[in-house]
Amino acid sequence: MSILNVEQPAVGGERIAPKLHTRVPSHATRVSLLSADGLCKSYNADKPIFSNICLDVKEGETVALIGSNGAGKSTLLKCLIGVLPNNGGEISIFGSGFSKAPSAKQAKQIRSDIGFVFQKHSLVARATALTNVVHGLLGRPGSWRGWHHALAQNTWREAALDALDSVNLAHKANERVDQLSGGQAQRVAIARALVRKPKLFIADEPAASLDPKSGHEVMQRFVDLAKKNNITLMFTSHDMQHALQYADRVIALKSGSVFLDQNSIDLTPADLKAVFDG
Amino acid sequence: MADHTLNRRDNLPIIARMGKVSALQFTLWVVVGAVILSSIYAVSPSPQRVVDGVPRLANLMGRMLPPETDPQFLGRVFWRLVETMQIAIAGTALGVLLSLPIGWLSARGISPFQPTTFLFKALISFFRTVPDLVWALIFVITVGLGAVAGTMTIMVDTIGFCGRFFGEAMEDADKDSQQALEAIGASKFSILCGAVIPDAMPSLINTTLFALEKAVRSSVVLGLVGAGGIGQELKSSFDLFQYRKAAAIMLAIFLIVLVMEWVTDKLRRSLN
Repeated sequence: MSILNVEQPAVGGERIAPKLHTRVPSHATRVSLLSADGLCKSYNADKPIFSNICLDVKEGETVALIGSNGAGKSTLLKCLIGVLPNNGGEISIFGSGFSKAPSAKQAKQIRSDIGFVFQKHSLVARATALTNVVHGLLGRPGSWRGWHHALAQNTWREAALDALDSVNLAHKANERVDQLSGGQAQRVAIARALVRKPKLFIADEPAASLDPKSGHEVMQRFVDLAKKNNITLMFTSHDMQHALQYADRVIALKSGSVFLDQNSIDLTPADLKAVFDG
Repeated sequence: MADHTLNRRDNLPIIARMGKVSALQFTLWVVVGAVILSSIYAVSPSPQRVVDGVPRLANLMGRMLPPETDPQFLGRVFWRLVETMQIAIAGTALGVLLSLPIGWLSARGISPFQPTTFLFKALISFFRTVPDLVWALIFVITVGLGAVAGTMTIMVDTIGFCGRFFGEAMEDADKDSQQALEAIGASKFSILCGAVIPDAMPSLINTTLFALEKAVRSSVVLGLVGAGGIGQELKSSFDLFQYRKAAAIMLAIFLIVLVMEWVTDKLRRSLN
């Protein structure tokens, strides 16, 4: 697999080479899954993290949210799904709208349709891969049995094993997570998100804690799974290669606002350079 | 060369052997010293009393040896030891079972009722600070003489010990996995069972083994106040001046504590 290097070819306006996975050229006809209008967030009134953010994520899209460290990528992601309250603006997710923060009922509904993947795998290290994937179903009815795969109902165990098989780790089902490599653990985390059959994958720097090779393997598998199951994927990354190679669309944050929102296929190195300059 | 060394030394700062001591610090040191010396003077044995005690100790040792080996007596001691172990095991098991929810409710950031964590911490501290012999006296009065009072004493003592360490182990458990399950929508109880307990498990087992070791040591003396076990046999031997029997019981206690420490040590090593 050739990997794009956006720093080296300093060809100002030239478009970047085509990506390796299948792209969806236009999302104009697709249904909006997640949108924000005039979204603001600040912990300190004098220093907003971001303001007036407008974006629209369509069903089935893969969107990369990029920006330099401290640009507010993770905070924006958390505000969009109602994990963090915002200070202004409107959010619509899965056809349900809220401002500031979702109601408890809305929050529960939103969470049930999202599969989360975190920077560090955030798995229970001393539990097996299968138990960790079964954990993905906690919060559903009957979830008191979901602490351990041995207690879970058969349908849950089968679903978890299927999800592990999707990330090619069914043979590691009974191994403890702390015995797996970083890349394998992150694939277990993806399986835990997948087992929920979500409408939306939210991933915060999913490959940041991995070496480059494992990072690309994890991202490739993640994107393939999202496409195959028609799950919208929104991920943050500070790795330009990942954003260009795996996302249909790139949204860049700079100085607290959306600096760039473009199909990745149309991006030029100069566009990306400008995101991180200054 | 010599000049250079001399110059370097001349330029170096002078480091005081001790930091500056304030008047308050000096006063505190004097007060602490006075308290220690006055305590030693008030209750420590004088050299004369120690010297006077040596012949009496030798006399007692002489009356204790050889330890009693009558098979009927040893059989009775054996069954008392079995009862002692039962008190220790049952009391520890019940105490550990109760310590898990109490520890959970006392753990900051983990408990489902955050404002009341201090109440459970206070309850655990109360269980811990009252000595086990005092608990034994209370339970002998409330449930009567015998092993049941001993079991309840060990149980409460174990809650005081395990409740604190279980709570701390839960507070120290990996936060990332807990936050991940919280984001999924898992309940506090599911997070406890699915993430906190598995992560804290080595510490929970370690603490349980220490509690068992402690319970065995405690259960041998509970009989002194009528709470069952081998201690009751030891007390009656001393009360009846049957020192050879007392020596045999003390040896048996020593052996059982030694074996228990060896077993728990092995288990801890295999766990690590």
